[in-house]
Amino acid sequence: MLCRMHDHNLEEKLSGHFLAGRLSAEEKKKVIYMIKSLTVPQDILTNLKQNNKESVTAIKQVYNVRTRWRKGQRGDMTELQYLISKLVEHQYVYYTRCNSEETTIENIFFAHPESIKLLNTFSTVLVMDSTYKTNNH
Amino acid sequence: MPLFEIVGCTSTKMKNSVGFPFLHFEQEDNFTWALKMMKGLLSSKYNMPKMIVTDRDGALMNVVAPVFPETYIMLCFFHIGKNVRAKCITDCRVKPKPPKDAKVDKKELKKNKEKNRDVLEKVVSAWKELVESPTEESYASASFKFKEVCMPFPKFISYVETTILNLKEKFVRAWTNKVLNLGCRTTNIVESAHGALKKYLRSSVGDLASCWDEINKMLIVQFGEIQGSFGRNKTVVEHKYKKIKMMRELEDYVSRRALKFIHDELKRSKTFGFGKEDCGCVQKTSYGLPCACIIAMKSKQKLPIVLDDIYPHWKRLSVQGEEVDDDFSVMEEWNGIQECLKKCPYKMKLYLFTHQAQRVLGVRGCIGKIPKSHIR
Repeated sequence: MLCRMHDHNLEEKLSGHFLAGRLSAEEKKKVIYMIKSLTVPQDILTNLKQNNKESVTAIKQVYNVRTRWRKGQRGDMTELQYLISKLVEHQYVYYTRCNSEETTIENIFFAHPESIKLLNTFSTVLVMDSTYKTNNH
Repeated sequence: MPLFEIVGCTSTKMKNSVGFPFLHFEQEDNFTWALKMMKGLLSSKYNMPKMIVTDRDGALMNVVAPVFPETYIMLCFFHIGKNVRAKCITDCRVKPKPPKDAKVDKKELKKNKEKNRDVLEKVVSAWKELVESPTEESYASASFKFKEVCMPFPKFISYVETTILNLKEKFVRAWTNKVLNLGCRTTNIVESAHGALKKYLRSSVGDLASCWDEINKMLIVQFGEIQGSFGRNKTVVEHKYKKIKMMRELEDYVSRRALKFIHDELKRSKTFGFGKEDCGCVQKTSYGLPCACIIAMKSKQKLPIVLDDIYPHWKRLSVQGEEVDDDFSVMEEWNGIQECLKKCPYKMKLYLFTHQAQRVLGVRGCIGKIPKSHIR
């Protein structure tokens, strides 16, 4: 459409257009696969571009797929519900402790069954220390 | 929430992350809870840890002793050394720091800086000697020397004596050598576990659920590595050990790390006679392996080193699961609770639900059984 006021020449390349840069179903699967194995979005994008020379996908689209996948995983469960359901599913041993009013969980302890076996095999020396900056609480 | 990581050490020098307690605060109360939970994971009272290594964190130090009364608590000498160094930089100055706006001669400043550096080096090397002194007698002389070096800085000496040296049994080599520590004198192993975990986590502001996701991935890799190390230790024997007749019996049954320690000690035993005084018997007391004097005696009598001489830790090259009878049902108790609930008045029922059942069942999606209007 031409309006003669705001016109500009047609772009030769389509990069930046979301429709052109959308990911095919197969590519989406591949992206999710790579996200699961902790690949950073930049590397995922490089991989996509290597496989498809004409791809005009932007980094934003990869991030979008990632966020959507993460959200879909949890469904409508809250953070702790998801955590505990996963702990139950993977047969972890877990203990929780609430504060005095029993309104919020303050401490949580979980251990993998295999590491408990290892603990009982090699229990002579234990080393302990605490670290910060692991989570947002 | 800080993560209070507990790490064990396998016979093949691999780390095993035992548990992941996320604590609200680093308080004594929370540490006690986490340690008690961890103690519950141990299969029997004969399996209690012999040694626990921590850093010089007041809250944690106070708490470990009551929960594990029979365990020797050791402090990381590396962290203590760092503290001493930091304190030395601030306290041990040749001349007090001039105020900011005062005019100072640059040459003099440079000279002072160099002098300060010399003092720091002297103090740190004296400190190292103090920590590494192998016997109590050498500790006494090293401590005398240390005090001599720090003579001009009474504030520093009093700090070291009151806050650090009162715990000397827990980190100075002279005392830690007497207890079984399997070579763990620092918290290096847990620091490396933190590092490994953070590599997986990538961001420091994820929520707990995403933390778990990454921890689970890490654990799977970790178990694979440990299992792999067991396999290698069982099948591969280094050539240099094959030539030694004394060690023939140990091959494939003892971890390679232990074999290396024995081999080093064997070399050492050739340098002196059979005197017990020269040996020190550190290998025996702190690693649970035959020390130089025992090896020297055995080689004189042409006896091999037998498996009984070796502490069980080094002989374990597989994961030993415990046999438990976990096939019990709680039907009787369950029915009891049901009957009790039926008799309960309405308000009591609500109380029981909100305080007990919700905690157990709420997370598993059983919440719908009570009308939603009743849940507050």
